[in-house]
Amino acid sequence: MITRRAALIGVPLAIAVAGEAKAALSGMAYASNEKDNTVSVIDLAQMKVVKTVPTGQRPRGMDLTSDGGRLLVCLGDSNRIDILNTKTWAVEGSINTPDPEYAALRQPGNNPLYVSNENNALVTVWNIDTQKMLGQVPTGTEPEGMAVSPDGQLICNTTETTNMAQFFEYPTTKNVANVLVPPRPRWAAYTHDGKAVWVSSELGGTVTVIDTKTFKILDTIHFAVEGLRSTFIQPVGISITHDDKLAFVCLGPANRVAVVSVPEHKVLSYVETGQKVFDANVKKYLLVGERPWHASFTPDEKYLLTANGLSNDVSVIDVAKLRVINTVPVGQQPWMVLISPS
Amino acid sequence: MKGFMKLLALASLVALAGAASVSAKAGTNYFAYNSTAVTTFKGVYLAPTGTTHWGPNQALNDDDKELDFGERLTLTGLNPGLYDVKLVDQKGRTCIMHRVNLTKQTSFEIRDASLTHCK
Repeated sequence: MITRRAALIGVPLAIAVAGEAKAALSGMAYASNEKDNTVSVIDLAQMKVVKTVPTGQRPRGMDLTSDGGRLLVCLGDSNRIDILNTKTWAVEGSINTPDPEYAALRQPGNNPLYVSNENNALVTVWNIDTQKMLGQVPTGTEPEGMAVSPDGQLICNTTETTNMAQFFEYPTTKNVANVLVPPRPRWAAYTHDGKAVWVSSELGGTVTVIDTKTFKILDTIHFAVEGLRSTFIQPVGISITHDDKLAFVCLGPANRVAVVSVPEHKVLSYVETGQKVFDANVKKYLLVGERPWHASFTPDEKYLLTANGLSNDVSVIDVAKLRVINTVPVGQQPWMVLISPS
Repeated sequence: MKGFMKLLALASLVALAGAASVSAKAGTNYFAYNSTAVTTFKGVYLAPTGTTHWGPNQALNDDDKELDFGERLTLTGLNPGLYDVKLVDQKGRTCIMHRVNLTKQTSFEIRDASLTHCK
């Protein structure tokens, strides 16, 4: 349930940021469509898909090099990760690795790449320039979420079935801590100061905040939406603003994104992505924005885009107004959306 | 006679091409996506549409022998065609999806709306 207090906190926060959100959207966004086997290229100025790039089988996780020039696409059923040139859309290279679910690049330097190999209970480490494997680390069952700390020294992997967040050091890949979290942890995101990592638990319906020095659990964030059964709240993707003030948590079948105060670990508001939008072409209201999986900010963090797996679209959320301002149809079952940094 | 032989040869070619096409498709992977919000299935059975010749429990193909919500299941031993799908959830409730088309598509989705006629 959203408390009145939380709602009151959320309103001034929204108004405070609202004055700044005047810039028009620009740049490109990329959505991985796991059922279509494509990546949709969205021109944000036009708010439409301008190119559909065929990929291998079951594209899900993606990452971008820091200059936005290369898009890495995990192709779970093709047992490889393709490295696509975002200007030509040519495949510049491929990393052959079994069941890649998600992969995260270490920054700065765009290397190495840490890959969750879901069915092999492994994290593999790769050089993306040579496409050579540098190492592998055993994990719990079904590794999924992967995050690299802002200083590049600590890697966090979540294992869906073992219900653990596992931490590895760079460059040794030594396992330094395993933290039990509620069921089906799907995603990890570091705060930008590197002091904490947030882990979403899809079945637990929570986000666990873990201290990255002591590996103690600092807090467990719960979500509740009035009129909605708690089982519908299935947190997955987490996006944290660079000033570490707000986190946006995609809640899956709840058709909402939770807005959370990062310092307070408190839910401020819920943004509905599943809502009716009038479509002039078919002259009727359509329900869009169902089951948001993952989200990404535009570089100025004025907008957040969510990949909506059930409604086959991407919602554009005005971060200041905390509401959906547009919906872009993409391919079937979009899982992740990334936005070019330039 | 010559015309008949030509026709026969053409028919054989067409038949061979058809067989090759079916055989290529027989090796295709098929999938069921559980896009329901909260329903897990312990039984997923397919039968050619209009029959009750249910095949093996495909849910057993999954690592934990169940098709959880949000998960995708690999379906084995199928040829292109129209199927009825029998779904058994954890409470033992049985639902049937009719005429699931796996002729051109290689996957189908189970949504909450698919579970309206259950016993």
